[in-house]
Parts: sequence; structure tokens; C-alpha cells
Amino acid sequence: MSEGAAEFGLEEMGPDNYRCEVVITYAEGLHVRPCTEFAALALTFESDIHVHFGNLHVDGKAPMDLLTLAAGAGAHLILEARGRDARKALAALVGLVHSGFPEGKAAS
Amino acid sequence: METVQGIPVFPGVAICPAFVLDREGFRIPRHTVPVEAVPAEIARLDQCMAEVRDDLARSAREVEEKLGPDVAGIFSAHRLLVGDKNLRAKIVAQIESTHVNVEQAVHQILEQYATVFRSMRSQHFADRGTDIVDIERRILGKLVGDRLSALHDVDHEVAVLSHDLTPTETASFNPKFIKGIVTETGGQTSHTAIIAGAMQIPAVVGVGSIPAVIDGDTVIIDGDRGVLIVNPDEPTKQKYLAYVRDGVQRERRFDSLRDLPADTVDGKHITLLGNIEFPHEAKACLEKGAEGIGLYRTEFLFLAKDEPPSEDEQYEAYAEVLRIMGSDRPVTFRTLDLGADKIERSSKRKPEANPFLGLRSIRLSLKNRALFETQLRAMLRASVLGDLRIMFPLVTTLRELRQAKLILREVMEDLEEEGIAFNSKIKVGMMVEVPAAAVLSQAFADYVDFFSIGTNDLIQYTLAVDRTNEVVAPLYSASDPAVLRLIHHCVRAAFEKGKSVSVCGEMSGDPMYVQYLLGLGVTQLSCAPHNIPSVKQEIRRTDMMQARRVVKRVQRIESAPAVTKYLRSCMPDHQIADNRPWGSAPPVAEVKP
Repeated sequence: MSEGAAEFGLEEMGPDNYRCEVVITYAEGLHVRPCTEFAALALTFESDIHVHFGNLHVDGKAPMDLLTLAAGAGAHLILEARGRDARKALAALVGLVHSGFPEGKAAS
Repeated sequence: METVQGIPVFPGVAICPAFVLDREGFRIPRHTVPVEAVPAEIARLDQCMAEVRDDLARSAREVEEKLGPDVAGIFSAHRLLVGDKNLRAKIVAQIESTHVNVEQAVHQILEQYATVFRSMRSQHFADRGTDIVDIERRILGKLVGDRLSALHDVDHEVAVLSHDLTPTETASFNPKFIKGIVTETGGQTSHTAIIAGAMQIPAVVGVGSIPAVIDGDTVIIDGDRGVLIVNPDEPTKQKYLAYVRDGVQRERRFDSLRDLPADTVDGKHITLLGNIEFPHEAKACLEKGAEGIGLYRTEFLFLAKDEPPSEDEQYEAYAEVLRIMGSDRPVTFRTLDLGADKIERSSKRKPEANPFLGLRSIRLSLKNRALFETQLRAMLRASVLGDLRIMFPLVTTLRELRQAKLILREVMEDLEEEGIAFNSKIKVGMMVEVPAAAVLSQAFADYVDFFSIGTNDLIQYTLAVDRTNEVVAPLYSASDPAVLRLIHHCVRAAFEKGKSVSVCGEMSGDPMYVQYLLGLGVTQLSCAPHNIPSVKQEIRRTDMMQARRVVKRVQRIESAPAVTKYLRSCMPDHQIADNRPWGSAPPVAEVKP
């Protein structure tokens, strides 16, 4: 595992394939705005992004589908990225989740 | 066949095909798209989605300036949801695989999402269904355009079923083809009631939830009883057709009653009055043989437009009623009986959690003096044209009554100073429709010239039941012993203090209660014009000795259904009851749970 990845608890599943578990601490959970912000950020990467929650998994670039996870505060999610910029993408997304979705990031 | 109960706001029966405006009023077109037209359909989708995203971006900017970034964030988020590539892919796949038009595809896919949200256990997420509905509405709004254009183009008789109707929407109604209206929301003073009254078509409001129905399904709108029947079975349909035929005959039979006095068998005269909402209904009252108007609801002026009507506009309407009725017939004007939400539509006032227990009616008038004074001025000015009486609604405390009378006196003084003529001996009364007022009616009687017992609200407040809530609606009954006791108490208080008392509300329009009310000593009944003939017929059959016995007997009965059963058995003629399509059981008993 490359350096830095461990900070985020990245787990290397294969070449250009990373996973990472995150906990939603944002009180509102993965609500409309966090979902759209997450998807907006995910869309800036080339890699495929998947989000697993329990036995559900959805496209991390699709805000509607993210919303259907109904991931409330305290939910454990597994983020998965596959592609050339998978590591970078996951680092950024984990960062967004950990930051608690500050207002305004979805402005793009 | 499915039956739902609502509030009847205009009588009559319509049997015709349904025209459904969905919850938000869209009539979502449905047709098959030929293979070669699929790309064009998808192009429509993309075009529309791009426009919706632009609209949302604009809304976000506008809202940000006005209300700050928090609220604007909702629009930005919706914009991103609409831009969801998977959403587009699903809609496209739906069009390609099932060859439905884009409107249907959007509706079907978003409904799938909305269903997922609605089924979520967390209320927090379940509420997201409303975001989806909002998005769907925006997209369909773009695709379908004017929600009522289709209705505007209708070329055959239909009954309109809708969640709600606003005045602008109903402006496009073609009276030639629209034969009845049912709405899920609304009460006796809703826009729908106004429109139905103006168009003179059967209407039922507040049915809660319209059963599954599609365009063209046969529906029966029973504006006499407040019932909507979807896809009636053949026997029900036949019964209603017979009822409509009988109704026409009964009307003819009743015509002969018009010029006969409303006297009991033993010669006691009962003053039979009409309830009206629109000035033109005053004519109907005269045609049916009313001696005057016992309840003129003045709300329609306030509902028809966004702005409260001016003093002159009100004066014109009031004067019209008095001109129709002539100078000798009494007309009792009720001051504004609406909730704050209906008056200040544009205001930032938060919707009340409990409008029926909130700022409405006389409470609103006392808080909004300018509005109240304007109405009183218009009434006083009109008072020189006939026998105008003023009545305050929903009075709950003596203080309210005293305040209202004080304001009336001040308005009179103003008019006097301005040299404007009015009837200074005008009679002033109050509605008794809150249990508190009924209980204290003896005290109230000292301050008024008359009482009018408003049974609709009195029942609702006494029994703590919302009649539009079908789960508890069966509790709503004028036969309830508690309600009857309050009415009895109030009538006695009026007699003891030498004040007159009338009964208005639906109870007084039901022949079943005529003997009972007369037996209590009530000498004035006020009901909807179309009920006047049957009530008069019942009065003319009543023997006062017998009526007083009915009261004694009813006092010993402990439940509403038993009272109803007894009163029905007392009606000398079962003809009317038996002709009803729902038989002789109390109406609510037929409603599906």
C-alpha cells in the first residue's frame, strides 16, 4: 500500500482499485445536499465510484441513487473506486465525508 | 366500485366520465411512441432537462439574494439531482424499452424513486419523497405546459377530480362540459365551493384521497350527500339514475309548496330562511319560498381575489342581495368567517398547525381591524336598503363579543360624522357554534338581539371530530346527545332572555330534524335554498304536541345512531328517505372504512 493511503484507511483491492470505510457523522446523514455534493465531486474523476451500504450498492456519481441508500448519521459506508485516478478520487471523497459536507461545495 | 365521503358544497348529482387532474394538477398524457420517433422523444427529454436545470440555477441565484445560501442550496441540490446521469439513462431506457412518451417515462421512473423514499423507515429520509415530487412537477410542468390546457380543450361532459383548484385554474372551466367537481382538499368556503356555486354544478370537497381512477371511468358525484363513487356497479348507477329522475319530479311537486305558508298542522308559523353564499342565490331563495336570508356568508368576495375587496365592492354585493330580497325580508349578514391563510395569501405568516383552532373568523377580524371596519362600513351603508342584520361568527368569549360590538359602534359614529346614512337600530347577533358560547348562552344573550346556532362547527367542536377525516367521520352527527343538549340549552337561554334564535347549518336543512327542532321551540330555520321545499313540507306535517313528545323521547336516548333511527321512524312519510340511493340508513354508515 502506498504511503498516504493508510492515513485514510485505504485498502488496495487490486490495481487501480481501492476501498475505504467511512462513517457518516453529519447529523442529517446522506441527505439531498450531501448526496449531490458527493456525486458532484465523484464526477470530477475518471474512475468508477461505488458506494456500498449494507447489502445495497449504488453508483457514487448518481445523487438520486445515493439518496436511496438512506444513510443516516452513524452509517458505515464502503467507498470503492476503480480507475486510473482511483486513489486520488477516494482520498478526495473520504476527505469530503470527513469534513462533514460544509455548505457551498456543490456550487459547481 | 369505491365510495368516499366529503363535504357537499353544491347539490345535485352528476353521473359522467372522470377527468383526472393528478395531485399537482397535471394530466399526464400517455401514448405509444413509434420506434422512429424515439430519438425525437429523447431529444425532448434532454431539452426539457436542460431548461429545468437552467430554471433551478436561476431560482438558486434569486433565492440566495433574498433568503441566503441555506435555502438556495435546496435549488442547487435539485439541479444536481435533475442532472443525475443515471436518472437520464433510466428514463431513456424506459422510453426505448416500453415505447412510452417522455412524460410517462419521467413519471414512472420518478415514481419508482418516490416509492423507495416513501417506504423508508426513517421519516427524515421518507420525506425526501417530496423532493422527488417537486422535481417531477418541474419536469412535467415543462413538458406538459399549462396544467389545465387539456381540460380547456375538453369536448364532452366530464366530472373534474383534482387535489385542489384555484380561481385562476377554474377560470378556464367550460360550463358546457364540466358537470361536477370533486377535490381532495377544501371546506365549505374553498374556491371549489365558490366555483361550483357560480357554475351551479354538484361539488364535493375535502374527500381526503380520491380513489384510483383514470380518465373516462364513470363517476357519480353526489352533491346532496357529499359522496364520490368511482366506477359504480350497475345497481348503484341505476339507483342514482332513478334518484335523478325522482329529483326532477320532486322538484315539480315541491313547486306547488312555494306559496304555501310554513305552518305546522296546528297553525304555528315557522320562519323559513335561506343560507346563501353568492348574491345571485338570493333569487333561488325567493323561488323556493324563503321568507328571508338567515345566513349570508360573505366569504366569497374575499376568496375570489388575492386582495381583500374594497368597501365599495363589498357594498355593491351586499346591496345586490338586499335589492333582490326587497326592503321587508330579513337578511342576516355574517361577518368574515375565514382563516388567516385565506386572507393574507402572500404573507409570510407560517401556516397554522391547527387552523380550526387558530386565528380565524371573528378572531381574525378583531386582530385585523382595518379589514373588519371596512366590512362593517359596507354593511352599515347597505343597511338602509332593507332589513339587514349583522352577525358575528365563532364568538367564544364575552370579551370578543363586546369588542366586536364596540368596533361596530365606532364605525357607526364615524359614519354619523361623515353624514352617511345607516340603520342605527340595526339588529346584532352572534353565531353559537363554539361549545363555550352554547354553555354560556345565557350570559351572551344579554349582549345580542339574536342567536343563530351554527350546527356544522358546533358538532365539529363539541365532538372533536374532523368530518373530512374518513376514519373518524362517522362520529360527526347532529344526532349526538351532547350536541342536542347544547342546542337545547341555547334555545332555552334565548327564550328566557326574550331573544330570537334560529338554527342554520346542515342540520336545519335535513327534514329528519324538523320535528325535534320545532319541539324545542325553535321558530326560525335557515337552510340551503334547495333544502327549503323538503323542510317546508316537513314543517307542514308537524304537530307541535307530537313534536314536543319527540323532544322528550330523544332526551332519553343515549347514542347518535339511536337518535337518528328514532327520528327517522318519526317522519310521517318515508317517501323521501326511501327514495335516496343509500336507503334509509344514516349516510355515513355507508362509507367504506
